[in-house]
Amino acid sequence: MSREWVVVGKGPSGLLSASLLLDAGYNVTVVSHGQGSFPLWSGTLDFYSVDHKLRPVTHPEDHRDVLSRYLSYDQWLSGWDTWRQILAGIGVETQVDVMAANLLSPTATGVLYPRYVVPNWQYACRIPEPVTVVSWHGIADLDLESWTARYQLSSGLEAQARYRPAPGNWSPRWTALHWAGFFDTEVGMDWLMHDLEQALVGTDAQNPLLLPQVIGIRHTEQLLNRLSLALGRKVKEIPLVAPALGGIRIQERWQKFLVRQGVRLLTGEAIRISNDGVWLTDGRVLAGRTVLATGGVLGGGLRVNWDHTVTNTATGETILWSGDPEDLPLLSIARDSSNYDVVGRSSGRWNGDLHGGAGQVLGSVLKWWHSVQQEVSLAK
Amino acid sequence: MGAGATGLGAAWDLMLRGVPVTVVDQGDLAHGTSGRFHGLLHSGARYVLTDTVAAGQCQTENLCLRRIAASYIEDTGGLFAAPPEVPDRLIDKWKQGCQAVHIPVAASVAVEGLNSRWSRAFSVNDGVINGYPLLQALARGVESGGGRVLTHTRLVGAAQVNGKIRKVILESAQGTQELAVDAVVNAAGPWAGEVAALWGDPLPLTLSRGVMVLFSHRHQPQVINRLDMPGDGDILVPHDHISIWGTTDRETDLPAAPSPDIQEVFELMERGQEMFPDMGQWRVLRAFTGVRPLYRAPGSGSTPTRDISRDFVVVEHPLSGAFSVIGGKWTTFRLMAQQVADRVAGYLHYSTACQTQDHPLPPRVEGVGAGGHAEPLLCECERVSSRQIQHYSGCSLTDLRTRTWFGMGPCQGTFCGHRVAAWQSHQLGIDQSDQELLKFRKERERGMLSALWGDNAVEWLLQRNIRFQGLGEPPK
Ligand SMILES: Cc1cc2nc3c(=O)[nH]c(=O)nc-3n(C[C@H](O)[C@H](O)[C@H](O)COP(=O)(O)OP(=O)(O)OC[C@H]3O[C@@H](n4cnc5c(N)ncnc54)[C@H](O)[C@@H]3O)c2cc1C
Ligand SMILES: Cc1cc2nc3c(=O)[nH]c(=O)nc-3n(C[C@H](O)[C@H](O)[C@H](O)COP(=O)(O)OP(=O)(O)OC[C@H]3O[C@@H](n4cnc5c(N)ncnc54)[C@H](O)[C@@H]3O)c2cc1C
Repeated sequence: MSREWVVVGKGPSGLLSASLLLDAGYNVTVVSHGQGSFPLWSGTLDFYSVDHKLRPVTHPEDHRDVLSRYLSYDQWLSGWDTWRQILAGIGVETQVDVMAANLLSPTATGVLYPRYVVPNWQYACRIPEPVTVVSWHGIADLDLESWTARYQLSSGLEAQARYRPAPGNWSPRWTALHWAGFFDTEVGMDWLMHDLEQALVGTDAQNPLLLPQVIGIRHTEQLLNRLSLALGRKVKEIPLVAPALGGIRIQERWQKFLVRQGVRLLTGEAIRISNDGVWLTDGRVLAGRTVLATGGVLGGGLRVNWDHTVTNTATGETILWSGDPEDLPLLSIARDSSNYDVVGRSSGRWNGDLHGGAGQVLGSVLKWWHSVQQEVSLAK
Repeated sequence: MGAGATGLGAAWDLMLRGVPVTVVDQGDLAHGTSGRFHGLLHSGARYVLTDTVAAGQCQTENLCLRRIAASYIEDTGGLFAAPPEVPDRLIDKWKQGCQAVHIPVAASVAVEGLNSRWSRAFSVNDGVINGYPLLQALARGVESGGGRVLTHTRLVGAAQVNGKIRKVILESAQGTQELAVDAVVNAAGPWAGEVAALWGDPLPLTLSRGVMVLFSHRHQPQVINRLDMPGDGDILVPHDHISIWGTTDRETDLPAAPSPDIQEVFELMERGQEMFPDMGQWRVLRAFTGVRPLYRAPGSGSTPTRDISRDFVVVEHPLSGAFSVIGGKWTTFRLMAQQVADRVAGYLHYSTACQTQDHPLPPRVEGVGAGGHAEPLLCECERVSSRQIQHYSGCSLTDLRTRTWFGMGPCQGTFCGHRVAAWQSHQLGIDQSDQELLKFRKERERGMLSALWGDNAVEWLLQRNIRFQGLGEPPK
């Protein structure tokens, strides 16, 4: 079998596939025409979060029947371990529940939402507890007044909130990236420490302290540790919307790691796949066996045309769509006869909005990986 | 009654004559067709081949609105381009028609992007109406003259004494109230038939819906019309930084605007690509419909809706003091208002003549909170700050949207819906603001789903990921 692989797409499924291939000793090229979805979400990995009646799911295991359509439950569990190890390898430590239940982690609007694997910088708990939240003027996604009201509603517990003025150099143009960049500097860190000391006067030291997810890009863990030591309490983040620092941190570290290990990371748009490899719009041809991690319609792997025909952007093939919007996230570009493999959102047949996006990424990547390994052992 | 262009126009007119007025609307300003139109300040050139009266009215009113409402009109100019199959003699007839009603026509060079075979092109004095701000100005004008504008107040009945209207019954969230009146003007647009039925004289209205497709770029600096007999998919109107393409004309049953029929959208897009071959690749935002109230003159039988005159009528009902004004165009709202106000003033024995031809509308209010303090932007697409939202606290999300324009840009509320709802919850509480948010999401989705292709399809899926995976919003 060819030692060369081309992964199209650098969202979670592309990066995960690349890591698995790399580990097994293949030569890997990752090519993508855009950033992928990581910068759009916090990087908490959802397994099975709500059931078909949209009730929060505590134990994904209770939904074995659905999950086993993709992998056996044991394969799922070992798959999550693999993923956590890969993340740890790139420098992102995560937390899970020891009983394989979902953790609860509040969203930017204060909803306690079930999450399966949560990066360590993000606040998550097994059972809700009273919290203290601090935010600053100008962080529009996190409105403390409604956040605390909703947190109380969904947990039945108090949230103490402190709303603080923005630093002097703030401007309405600041996105989460500006905030994080500021806190990554010495000046920013000093300002933060000083501001929090004042903000916390009169708050309960037992409570974990929650901050908006803007505590640095590069130095997040150091910053949170320093704060935690200085303030004498647990300090964690609440994810915001986009640009999403959690996902950005993961993507940056993952890419850096892959490149350091010799993976070629290219920008380019795939338009055709032949036995020779992947053809890009600029005329380059990347030789190797191909896996499409192109993210379906949302990731740009499928294009919906004005007359509701749908095109696989990487191959030009037409995909059938019923025209029902609800079917759009489920469209699959996987074909038995084709000369490429498909993972992630492009593999379709799973509604990430209901059942967790990362569940689909993991399930589809592992399934593909098992089949690759099977092929290898057959060949041997 | 009716806070559309016609009703507010009539109130403005009556107020200037010294008649005390109250305007009621079941929704906010522009709840009806006046908020769901194409935005074209007609030169009249579209109607010269079929409807000379309407064409002449449009031209006169076009010039008048440029005088009295200059800051609400964008002087884009318009182009009429003929497709190759249109014979020269039709073009000549069109030119003569324009001349007859004094529409200035000049030969023009074709524009970029337009089908190169549509080379016979002429410019006219079309323009663009900024509908929402203009209606807000009329409402401010009415109020500053002592009148009242009651939004979210529905007219549900009328009471008479000796054959004269004496009272109307109004329903709102605060309950039912009676209002003593001497006369009522029914400017309920597509609902006018139902409203007149409240005093036992239903009107012979025919309703026709039109669908429009909204693109997120200003593709042309001027209005582009198809020079032919009026048909579907004829006009592209630039609006600030976007463009609206339309429209269709299908008979419809209900006055409330229906969701666009997807087949109708496809047909509109096919027509569009005859005119602009690359329209299928334009970044689409949404599609929406509006409903035309057309007055079917008794005896006109079963004429297709497009052939019913765009002229308007004023009806004096058997119940004294009850008037209806129906049909017409946004462009001619002032004239319609004048004619109905003449009748009402006569009935009430006011002798002051109409003032509106020369009386400028109240000036535009500049964005609240622009400049000064640094406030975070809640809506980045349309640059709406928390201060602007605060200014309208107490409004529903829908009203906030049409007043501040938040959630109207390319992201259709993806990144700002929850932010504005959070601000609103300070007043309303979480439960009610959650319901408001869901209503807002549904309304935005309705438009997005009606044009679900290209980057708009991507945006819709992103919106769902953010709502359901990111924020944990309840989907129902
Ligand atoms: C707003 C948001 C919130 C989310 N929240 C959660 C969450 O809370 N929990 C969770 O578990 N998951 C979440 N997800 C993850 C999501 O549900 C999906 O599982 C995940 O994004 C799928 O990743 P992917 O790698 O398949 O596709 P993507 O991340 O979309 O990557 C697609 C890649 O393919 C590239 N590409 C496409 N076509 C071509 C082409 N022709 N040529 C070259 N490159 C191409 C793109 O440039 C991109 O790099 C969220 C996603 C989003 C967008
Ligand atoms: C698709 C389409 C495109 C158009 N494009 C253009 C154009 O480009 N240029 C142009 O000049 N014209 C255009 N028109 C025509 C123009 O929009 C209408 O003629 C005009 O808006 C009608 O205004 P109106 O005030 O009469 O009715 P409306 O705006 O419908 O106002 C009626 C009001 O009455 C209220 N109401 C109804 N019943 C009750 C009740 N019982 N109690 C309280 N309130 C009630 C409604 O809520 C509504 O707000 C277009 C029309 C359509 C359908």
